Amino acid sequence: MTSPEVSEERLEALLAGAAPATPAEEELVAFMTELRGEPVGAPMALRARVGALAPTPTPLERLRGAFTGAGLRKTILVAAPACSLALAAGVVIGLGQRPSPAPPPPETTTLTTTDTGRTSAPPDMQLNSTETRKDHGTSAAPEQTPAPSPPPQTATPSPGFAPDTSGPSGGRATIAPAPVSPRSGGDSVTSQGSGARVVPNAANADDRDAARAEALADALQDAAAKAQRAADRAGVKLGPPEAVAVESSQAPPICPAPATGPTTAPIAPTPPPPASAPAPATDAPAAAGSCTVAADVSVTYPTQTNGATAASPPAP
Amino acid sequence: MSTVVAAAEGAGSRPDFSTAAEAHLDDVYRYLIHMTGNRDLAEDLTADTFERALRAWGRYRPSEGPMLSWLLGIARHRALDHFRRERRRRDRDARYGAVQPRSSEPPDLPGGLSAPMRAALERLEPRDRELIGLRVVLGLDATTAAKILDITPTTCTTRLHRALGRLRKEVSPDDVT
Repeated sequence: MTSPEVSEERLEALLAGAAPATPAEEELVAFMTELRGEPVGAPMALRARVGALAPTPTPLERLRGAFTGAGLRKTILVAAPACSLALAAGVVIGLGQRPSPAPPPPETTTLTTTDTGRTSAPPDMQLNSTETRKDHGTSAAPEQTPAPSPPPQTATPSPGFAPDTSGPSGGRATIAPAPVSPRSGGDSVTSQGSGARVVPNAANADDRDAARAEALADALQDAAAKAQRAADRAGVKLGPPEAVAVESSQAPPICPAPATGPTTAPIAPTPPPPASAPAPATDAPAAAGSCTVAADVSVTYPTQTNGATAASPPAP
Repeated sequence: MSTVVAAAEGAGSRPDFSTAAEAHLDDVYRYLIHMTGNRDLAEDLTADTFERALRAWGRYRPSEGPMLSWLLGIARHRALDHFRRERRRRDRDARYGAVQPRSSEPPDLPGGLSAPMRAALERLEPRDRELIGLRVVLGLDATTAAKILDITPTTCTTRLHRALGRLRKEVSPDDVT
């Protein structure tokens, strides 16, 4: 078979019974026939030995054998490690799924929306609706129980305000009847937000001013977001803000109490970026230690209803 | 192989042990003769093979292959175990010098072969003789033989190609009856 005439593929074919096609293949077939020779049968003594072997055990006998003698040992050898592994895996999985300590409850903010100028609003939208969310502008405010806060100070009077039940870090957005602006032709939305910043080194007045500006920016963003949500819920379109009222408040004892008081500043029709917010009216003296700078902002937006002009009564 | 056993294996069921032993006894015996080159040893190993097969009868799965390949696998393991024991015994005898190791006896191959063919088979390596026994004498296909020998079918075909080539070198076509 070193002759290159017969390949391995042809060898397989010839073994499978293919007819030889070349003289080399004919020689190979004769060779394999010689190798097969006369069939050799097992001697009678061997047949007797094999025939004397026990018959096949029935399934019941096999099951019985699995729990007796060597079968029992095999069963234990197999079952014990398997049970141990299963138990260990169960313990590990159970420990892995153990509930972690409950996280502190999220700080809640009550957003009260009152729509008095929209007659087509659904009934639930005309009532006070409350939503719970995390307030992004309260990084330094501790968790407190809701407490009444003083009424918001806004640039435009809002008789439709509902009582604010949020904490110091909360915000409130109110849709209230307002004098119709020449360019709006609808209601106005007053939204209030608050922000706070911790100044680690309160000795530097520049640091406090920077923190105050950041707190104001947070409060502005908070108020704008609330007003937008309230307007979306009420189905009105917000115009550019008309006025912004800023109030700094709630300084901790170690920080000199800033002068508080509302400041109302009419701004341009375009929405103001946070950096262009008016500076707070506070000017606290330098003091050592940390200091919390907080600010409340009220922003008033004129609103435009889609299609029809809102028939809202003028604010008293 | 009897038609009863073939029908049972084709249907995926397990035939009765006595029926399967009767059907495959000759094939197992011939395979062991080619593997060991000793008729008496082949008889002992055949009986041992069927005894082991009876013990492991519940573990045979018809879906994993034909009954003959399963039995031949058991026979091969029994033969290899025997050869290992014999080698350890000879090594131990040679180490202590108590008994001179026996010279290897010429294989006692089945009859019906011409003298040159028998001589050529005797000079083959046992593994080549085993392969010729599986593929040529018993007529197993490459996949089944490879599974018994624990090699790939391609290796099985290549080895057979070389083994037949060695035989052809020593046996002229005129010697083939």
